[in-house]
Amino acid sequence: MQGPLRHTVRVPIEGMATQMRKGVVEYCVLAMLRHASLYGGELIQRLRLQGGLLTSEGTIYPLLSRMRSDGLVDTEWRETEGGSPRRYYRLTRVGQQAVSEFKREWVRFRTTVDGILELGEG
Amino acid sequence: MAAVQVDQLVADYLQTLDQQLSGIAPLRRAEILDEITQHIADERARLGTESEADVRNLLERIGDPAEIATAARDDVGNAGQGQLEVRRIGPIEVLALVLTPFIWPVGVILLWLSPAWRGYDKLVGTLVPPGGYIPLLLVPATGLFLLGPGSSCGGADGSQSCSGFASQPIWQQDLITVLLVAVVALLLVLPLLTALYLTWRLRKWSAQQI
Repeated sequence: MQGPLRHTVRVPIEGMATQMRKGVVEYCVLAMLRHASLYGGELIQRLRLQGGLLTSEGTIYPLLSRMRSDGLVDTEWRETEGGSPRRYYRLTRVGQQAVSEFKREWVRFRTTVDGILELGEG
Repeated sequence: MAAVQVDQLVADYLQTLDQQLSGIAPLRRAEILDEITQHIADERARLGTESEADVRNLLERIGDPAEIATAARDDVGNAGQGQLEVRRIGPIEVLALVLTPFIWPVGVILLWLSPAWRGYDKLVGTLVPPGGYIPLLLVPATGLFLLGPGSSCGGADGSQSCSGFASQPIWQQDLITVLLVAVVALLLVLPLLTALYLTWRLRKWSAQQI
């Protein structure tokens, strides 16, 4: 007699989380720059406080470099007290538009997914 | 651990990172490397007295150089092939800068053909002033028109009679002279200022390479 059918499926949860992080971290960085220009170290500290958005701190620099070449942020060098000049990142108008669009899209996306997940639980 | 050995640990990390970043456009590679070097220096300064474990922990937090290099390559991939082009100042840009003041129509066409300037910069190059130094050639003709070939004073019988420009009141003559000088000065300076502005924008564009 045939037993109950069993599927063993490995849920690629870590890969999924990485992909989700990759998708949103750029916009989180842009959102952090909405009110003040920040240098890389400050951005890392803030992302660290939020927890889990950066797999490793150094990966923010390729991201910032690409965002700069995309025109989402621009940079300026500022002298710091007792230290060497630092490259500060600030949001451009294109970057501001990107954050606004992301926020609208994110709210819609989150609402949809929450709704589906709640339906599944119900 | 001696400070020298800790320094060596950091130097080895940065060297590995530099090697892993090979293949990335040079300026982008240098930018990433500079930023991470600065980040390490900041964090080490924050640590104060540092042990080998502290520094190893810091480097671990910053991440595996291979992972950072992969992120850099992924980001380049996401940015699209067009943005991989290195922004080099070429003959079009140089000729546009040189010719816009002197041979305005040709310079302006090159200005609009080049991707180096934004629409606003191109408008500035086209409109301030229109024609580059060409309108300057019209100044002698304008002066001649205002002064007039028959503009002279004289009188055989001792009475002073004037014609043309010279017949105008002195204050009007002075005003026209001042205006002419001002126009000439503007026509001389504006193309130069425009060329300087376009050069500044070009350097900024060129510096924003990937």
